Amino acid sequence: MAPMLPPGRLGRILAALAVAVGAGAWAAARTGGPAGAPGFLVGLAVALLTAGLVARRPVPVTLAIVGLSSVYLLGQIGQPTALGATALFAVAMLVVLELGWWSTELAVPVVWERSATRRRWWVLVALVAGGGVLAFAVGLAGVAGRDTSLVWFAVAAGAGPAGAWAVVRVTRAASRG
Amino acid sequence: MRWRPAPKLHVYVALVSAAFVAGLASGRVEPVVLAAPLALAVAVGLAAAGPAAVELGVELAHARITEGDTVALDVTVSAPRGLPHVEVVVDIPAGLAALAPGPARGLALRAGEPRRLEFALRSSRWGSYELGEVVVRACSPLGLLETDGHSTGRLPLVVYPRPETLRRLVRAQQVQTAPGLQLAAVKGEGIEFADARPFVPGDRVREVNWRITARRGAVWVNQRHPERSTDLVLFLDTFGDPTLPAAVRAASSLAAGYLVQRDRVGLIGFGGVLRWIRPGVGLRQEYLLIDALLATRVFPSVAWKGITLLPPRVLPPKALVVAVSPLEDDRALTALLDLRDRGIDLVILEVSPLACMSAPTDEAEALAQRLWRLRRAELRDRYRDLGIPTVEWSEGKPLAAAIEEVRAWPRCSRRVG
Repeated sequence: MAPMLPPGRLGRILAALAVAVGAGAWAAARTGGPAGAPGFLVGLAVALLTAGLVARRPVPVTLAIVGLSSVYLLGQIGQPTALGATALFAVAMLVVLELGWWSTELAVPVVWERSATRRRWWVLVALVAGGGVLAFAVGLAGVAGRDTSLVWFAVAAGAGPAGAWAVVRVTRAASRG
Repeated sequence: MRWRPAPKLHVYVALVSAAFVAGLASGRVEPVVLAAPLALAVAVGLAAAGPAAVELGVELAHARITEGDTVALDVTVSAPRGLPHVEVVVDIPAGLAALAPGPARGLALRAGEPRRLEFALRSSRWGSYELGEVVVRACSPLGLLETDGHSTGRLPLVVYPRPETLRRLVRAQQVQTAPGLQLAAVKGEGIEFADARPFVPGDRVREVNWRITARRGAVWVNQRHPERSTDLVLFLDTFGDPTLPAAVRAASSLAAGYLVQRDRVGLIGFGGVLRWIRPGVGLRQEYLLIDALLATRVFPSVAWKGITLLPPRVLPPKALVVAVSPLEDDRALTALLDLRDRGIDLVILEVSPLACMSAPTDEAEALAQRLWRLRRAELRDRYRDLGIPTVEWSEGKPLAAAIEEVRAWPRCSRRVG
């Protein structure tokens, strides 16, 4: 009889898979529809992700992220830069990667205290928020003067470090309790 | 303790680097945007990591417990600076099991605030154990850096076999002179009525039986059975590997039962290593015996051993010898026959190895097993023909039933072949 997955780990696995499937389907749709090669690549990446999560192997999880990101980037070829969509996709990949690594920790079933788990979720939320801001800021800085004005470059140059600093503060506070 | 990069850090750095290279090569910003949250995670994970220092203390609530009991292992963890992810894993030897929530716990440590974790361990098998091997693994925020350490202390834990309650015990055919709880066959000073006889000068007045005196017209006195102790020597056959735990459990129960009744109990461990404890009485003797039983191991040896190696005081006259043996090794079988030839009051408690055997898988194996059983039955009959009570017992069955079977044995009417 196969051992039952702990509820917390099962939740993280399902959440990671849901985000990955959603992001992959969206990327495939932008690339040219789910029926072609992009759809096949997304399916392969999701299968790899599932295998890695269940077998507690981080390498397949990482390869799945690379696969999904490749599908998205292939869809962007010849298209105008979509900063918001790319930042959103980047955040989704970060969520999948973090949940994936979290689910593949220690083969020994560690019983975590609620407070420790709660802090970890707070750090993840802060990281996702800060990561989204930073991704958008990096995008703005990257296209400044070409697709947007220099004002947006200044905004990005300020928002990026500010977001990173905020995340560091939240993480440190969560670490010290 | 020092931080070292976790595999996650390598993967994140590799992904960020690959994305930056892709962005530079393609001249597009999207790969860099995709990698920006990962780069932030790396920066945050490294910036928020404090010094890696965890202090660990381990204590055991009791050093001696009885089989089936629970003992608490207390682990105290503290860190000078807060750590968000600390995993504490207790290494538990076979024979002990951690009760819920298990041997591994995860917690967050606040700066300078020690945390005490209690691990409840249940003992499922007697023996001597060493505890205290505790591994602690700490991760920095986001798990990019990790460190681990372990406690170096060794905490001994002795788990005594749980003695089975024995209401009645096998009695020796001859008692010793020391007072005890067993009725002697002879008549003398005691409590239990044995007989009445005519008065002779020297008899005490309190022994006069007035009813018989009135009826007979002459003074008659009561005679009584004195209460005496017996000497028990446990002969533990340590040649049999799979049956040894059951044999030790049975020997422990017998020793406890006899010592409670103020009988003297000794031990002979007959195996690869020959060891003995001279018969004695009291609590000290009980601990001596139990410690010797716990230290009993199977040592492979091809050296021929006999009871001639034993000092005479280990086998006192009139002693009852209860042999706890699987009746497998020829050396033990010969030693038992030697004991019988010396006229020692011998009882064999056969610890059946059948319970340790798997079911036969094919016809040849079934036939071999049947032949083996026949050989064992023949051996048992041989001992019985010599007048040695031989009863079969296996773990899981009540030892009291085997004792009753021995008591029902007609030990006074032996056929000596």
